[in-house]
Amino acid sequence: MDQLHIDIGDLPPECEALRAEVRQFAKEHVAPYSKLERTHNWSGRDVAFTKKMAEKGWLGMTWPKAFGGGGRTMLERYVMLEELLAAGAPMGAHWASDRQMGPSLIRNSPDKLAPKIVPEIIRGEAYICIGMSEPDAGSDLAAIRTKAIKVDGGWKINGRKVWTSGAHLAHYMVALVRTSEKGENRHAGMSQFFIEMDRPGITVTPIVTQLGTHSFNEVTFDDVFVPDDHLVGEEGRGWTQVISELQHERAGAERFLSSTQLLLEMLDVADADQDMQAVAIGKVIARYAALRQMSQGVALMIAKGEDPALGASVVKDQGALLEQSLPEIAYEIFPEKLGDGSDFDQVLTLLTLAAPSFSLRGGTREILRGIIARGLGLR
Amino acid sequence: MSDNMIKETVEKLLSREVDRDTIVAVEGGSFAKPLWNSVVELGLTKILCPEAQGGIGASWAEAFSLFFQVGKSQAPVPLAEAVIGQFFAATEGLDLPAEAVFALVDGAQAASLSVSADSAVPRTVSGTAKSVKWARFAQYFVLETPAGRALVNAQAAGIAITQGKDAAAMPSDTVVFDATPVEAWLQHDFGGLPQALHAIHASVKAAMLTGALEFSLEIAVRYVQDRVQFGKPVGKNQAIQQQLAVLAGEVACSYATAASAMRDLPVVGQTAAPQAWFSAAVAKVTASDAVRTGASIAHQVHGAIGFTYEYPLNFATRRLWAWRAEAGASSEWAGALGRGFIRGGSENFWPNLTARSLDPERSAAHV
Repeated sequence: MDQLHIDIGDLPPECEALRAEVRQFAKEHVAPYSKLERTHNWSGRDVAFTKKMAEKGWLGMTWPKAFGGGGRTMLERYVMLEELLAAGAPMGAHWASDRQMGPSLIRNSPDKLAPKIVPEIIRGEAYICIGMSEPDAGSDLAAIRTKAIKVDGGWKINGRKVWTSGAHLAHYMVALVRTSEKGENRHAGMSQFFIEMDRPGITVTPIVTQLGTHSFNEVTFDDVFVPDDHLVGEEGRGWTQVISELQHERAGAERFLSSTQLLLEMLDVADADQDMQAVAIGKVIARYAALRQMSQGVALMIAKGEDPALGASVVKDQGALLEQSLPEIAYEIFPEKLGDGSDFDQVLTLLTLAAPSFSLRGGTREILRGIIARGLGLR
Repeated sequence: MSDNMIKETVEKLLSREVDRDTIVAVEGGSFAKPLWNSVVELGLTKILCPEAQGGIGASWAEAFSLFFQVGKSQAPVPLAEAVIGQFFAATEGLDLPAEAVFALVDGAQAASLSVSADSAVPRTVSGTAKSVKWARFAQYFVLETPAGRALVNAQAAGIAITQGKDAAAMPSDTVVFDATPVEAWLQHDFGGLPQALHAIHASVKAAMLTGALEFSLEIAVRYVQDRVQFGKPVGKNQAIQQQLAVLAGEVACSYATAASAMRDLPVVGQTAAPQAWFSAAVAKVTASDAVRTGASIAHQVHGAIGFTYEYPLNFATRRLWAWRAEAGASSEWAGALGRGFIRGGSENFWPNLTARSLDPERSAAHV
């Protein structure tokens, strides 16, 4: 079972130098947010903060200099991100653009779309949403029905996307749609399109979560025209392109560092001399340490050109388990804090309500474990 | 020997020489002399000792695969204990026989051991240590008493052993020391690591647990692929696949934390190991807690066959249940982590986590 063995190693020295710089930045620019704002972490949005990161060169920091990118290593980006995530920085505005849409445009449309859009992302000015799920296509993404039909000079898109994060604030969407009917190979016949959100025929409707917040949307396309050069990559290769994007999603530090605020609250109210509290918190610390070692190990292996796919899936699965355990532990060992209106109480309530989403976003727990089982040779 | 050479050598030896009969014989009370001679001849007991002392001069990280394979193969010999004992001897410049069997007493086991006053010569140790693995076969005891680390020769006066067994039916004895003279003090200062034996023992046990856990996963995966019910291999059911994915997750977490702990342990002569206490705690909590889910899933997917003595799963799972309690149970190490991080306060959580830092002083329970 060597594929479960994640190599452990140290980050190169330039990463540790950057760490100190990011930590200082977080002290100045993240610490002033309220605890509740920091609890939202990377799903929180603040355009002003995104611009500050852009000024530091931390958007598109690994992208080629030819596109205006920073040309720095993936390991440096790993460190920059884990530091900001641990601090609870609101990175939602640029998150999807920086993590996957920029790299996708550079890879799949280097001559047409990337030269215009990538510099906007790097300046912190372009926010891109991702159009994947549909009412009848959740885990079964190949079941999408939104369709693009070839017309003179471009394509005409009709259909509906759901759970689209930030669509109401985004300038652009990259959508996965069908360009030919589903055939024997159900993964064939899909393509990706780049769509300006202000094109005629697009309607964005909020989907309010159980937290009472609006970040998801339903987006309908009613005869939306896009020109030919808005096809991202090759016609019919959309599935392959999307899968390679999703791999970026799996083992990042955001998979276990989005709820740290509750642990911080617990550390400040806990009594070290109470065994029950010390043991419960100690187990959480051990899990954080385990996941950080693994996440960093995966990053190091990828940097060496290896493909620790199974290890990466484990990080996401275990990360969700850890984050979902936090509100339960807090509820169990600090009953006196429940409902007292304190920061602790508010952070706990927010994360209790948010927790179910941790094993849904970016691939459900069951899909993820199916992938792990396939790696074990069971499927 | 490089990392890979150690791995290959150990794998080859153990797969050749560890078999069911050997394990069953040790469960019956004998010592696996031929297997022991083989590991000694390969130099494995002194793998960490400097070459000048007849050792191989490996680091703990290089020796990781040795401990992992001992767990995976269920080798019924006190190899890990000997490697640790020889390491402490070598650290003091003592060259002990390579075939010596060691028994380790640390953590809570050693808490009630007392040492005679400084003025008494020679100083002696007294008290009772329970669940001491391999004690009846030991030539040496390494005791990490509250007053310091001591090497005790098993031939010394004042040692009484009552035999017992652990869940794996391996020797686990009660040892009473009654003014037993100390042969040598193992006082090397590992800077920032007062209970070096406890931390090393816990890290090594985590590596062994990981090996036994991986064996449980592999045998379970093989079984569900072969076993047919309702006209198909049981492993084709999503309910089985999902469970084994969880077990795989536990293996991956244990492996990473045990490997990390090994990297953070001091080699012979090293005078500082600032990350060892933290990493040992993380590894032992992770591996010990993995047993609950891991052993349960491995048995569940096997059905009744896994519950028989005949089928090899139990040799791994009984070791999992025995070893998770050794060198500090999960609750003990989690308590240390929890106290250290609570006393550090929220502002030090992330800096200490990234630095792998746990102050032994701060992590101690106040009486």
